[in-house]
Amino acid sequence: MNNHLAEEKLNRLLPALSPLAERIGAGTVPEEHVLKEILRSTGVEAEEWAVEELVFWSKILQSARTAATYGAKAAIAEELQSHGIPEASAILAVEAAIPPPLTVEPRSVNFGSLRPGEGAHATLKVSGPLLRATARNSQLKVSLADRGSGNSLVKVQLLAGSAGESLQDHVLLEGERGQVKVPVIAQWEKEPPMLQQCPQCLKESLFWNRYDKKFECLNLECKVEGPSLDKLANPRGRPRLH
Amino acid sequence: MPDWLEIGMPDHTGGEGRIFFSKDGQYAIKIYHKQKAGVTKRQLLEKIRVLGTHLTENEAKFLCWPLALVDNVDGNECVGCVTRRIPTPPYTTLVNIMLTPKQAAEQFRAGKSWADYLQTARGIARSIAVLSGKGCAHADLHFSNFLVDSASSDVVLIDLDGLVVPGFLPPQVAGMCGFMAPEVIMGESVPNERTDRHGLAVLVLYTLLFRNVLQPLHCYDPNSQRNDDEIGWGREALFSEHQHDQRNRPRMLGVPLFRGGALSYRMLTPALQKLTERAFVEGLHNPAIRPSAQEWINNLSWALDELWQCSHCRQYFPYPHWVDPVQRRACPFCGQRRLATPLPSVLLLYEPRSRGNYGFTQRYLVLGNGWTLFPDVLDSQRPPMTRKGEKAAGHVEWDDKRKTNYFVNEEDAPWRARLSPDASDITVSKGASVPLQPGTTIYFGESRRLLVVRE
Repeated sequence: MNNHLAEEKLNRLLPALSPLAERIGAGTVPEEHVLKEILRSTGVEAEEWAVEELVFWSKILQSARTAATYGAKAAIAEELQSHGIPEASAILAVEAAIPPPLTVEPRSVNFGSLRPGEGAHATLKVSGPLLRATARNSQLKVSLADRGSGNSLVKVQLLAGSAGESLQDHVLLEGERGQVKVPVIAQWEKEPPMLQQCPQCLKESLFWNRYDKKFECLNLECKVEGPSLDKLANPRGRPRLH
Repeated sequence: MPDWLEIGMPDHTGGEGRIFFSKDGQYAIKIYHKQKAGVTKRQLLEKIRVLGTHLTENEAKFLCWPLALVDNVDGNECVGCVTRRIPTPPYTTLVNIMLTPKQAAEQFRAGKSWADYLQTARGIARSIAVLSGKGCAHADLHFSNFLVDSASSDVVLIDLDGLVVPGFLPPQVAGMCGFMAPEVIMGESVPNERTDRHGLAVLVLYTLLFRNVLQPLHCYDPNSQRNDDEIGWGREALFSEHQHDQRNRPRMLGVPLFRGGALSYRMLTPALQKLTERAFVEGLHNPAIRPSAQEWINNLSWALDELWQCSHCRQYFPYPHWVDPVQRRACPFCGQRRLATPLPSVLLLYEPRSRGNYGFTQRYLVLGNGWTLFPDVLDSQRPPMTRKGEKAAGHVEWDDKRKTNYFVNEEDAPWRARLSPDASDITVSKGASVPLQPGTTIYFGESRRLLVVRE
């Protein structure tokens, strides 16, 4: 049976093939209103014959999503050609309808050196249809933010770690065509000595309070405190004595 | 394809990039200039590469397709593509054999034949036919993008990195002036399959007549060369042999080539003349009716069956059987009027239709003493010129006593012939012959073509 549209109709409809394939590749199953929108965007009136033909093309192209081999892709392209679509357009439509492999930016996350008790977060920009984002390390929390059809943002939260601790793991991003591992690295500074010289009063009175994770100067005339040596300050309401 | 290639210094640098050859001599590598090498270019090249994986072995012979993309050169990221390297020699760019009429005359005197150019033109059409058959356009057809083996007349089309596929691969270049369709020059269209048809027609005629048949000979803007070109090749584009407008008519048109003349398209076979008129008269500003590459292939192939050799200059040319009387028939190269004795027989080829009817194919056969007929000519299902190594169906012998050509059957199956419309059929068995006198009809068997002798 000849499935061909008349040449004139086919030529009018062909510009719709590329956006249709791209939408399917991005994970959309085009409903009728989407097909009409595609038609309008390519300057074709959403007449019944045009929508019907796009539905045919859409069904064929959806089977490309799972086509893994050259032979499978070629068979789908041939099916499109049986509808009168030229070979090159058919081949490229099948390629476009296959979900692209995931790409991620940045390719790795290095939180660097953190202070004990400190946490951090980073955002990954993922291109391609993302199904899942997970991390097996309990110190990493992964959440999907702003999940679009082609691009997603993945928030990676690193929970606070103890002094001297380090983390070397990965976030696993899973798409329809395979997975990507994003290495995550972090380390926490070692615990400071229990007592050291206070940079403010220069006495051996700076105490590291490991429970509150802060420095406290035990010199009553100084009394500065803070989470790190460069952030020492007098607590409010306690005027510094001279 | 190996994972990496060793390259030397660039062979040459063009507008788009630098061309290198791999040190093993197998590959040509194009590295795009930074300003031409964006992410988009890489994506487009990748699509073109994918299309190339679907070529058949035979198709790949005529097309120098990108086989792989370049990732980096010496660790520096870049955009580029790799193709097989076409050896030069034996190949040379078409521009090197696209000669002026004077140079062509010298080539012919040195032993080159016009039939070689006919084969080259067919090769050009064949490479474009593969592209258009797939729904692609080359978009930049000109005589530097074809490599020709002058010994075998094989043609390879290069620079396929700018292919156009509607909706998927947009045009990246407009083309070269002289080969661009008028609507592209006028900004009314972008390169597509129909503008390729125009470029192909220009190239075919250039190859056959040694001149651009649209070359403007009238100045439209003396103050601006660019504007003059745009008008002359665009809005005012005109076939040099237009029947009613002689603005672009070459001065020495129709004068024999060896006397410094310019060849006319009227020297071509009737079918090629019609195709030329469709391309450059009716179709010049009407892309829809321009001849397809396949039409050019067919008619250029069939023209090989209408060639005749001049007894004076020994050059091959389409025997002008459409010119009457016979005494007016002349060699377009040397002007010789006494073409040869004995003169060839001219036969009309008919196609079998339904219920025993036959229709004229618009094809002629010009057969002289010693010439052979191959079975592909008689078989309507076979593409033209598919006869390599095949046994002939028959051959022609001149009977000097009767002053008539005779057609000798070399096939096992007998033919049937009728010497005049009211005569009865005779059987022509293997080894027997039939006189090729006007009005004779030769029937070769069921579903095969039929020959009628015209002169």
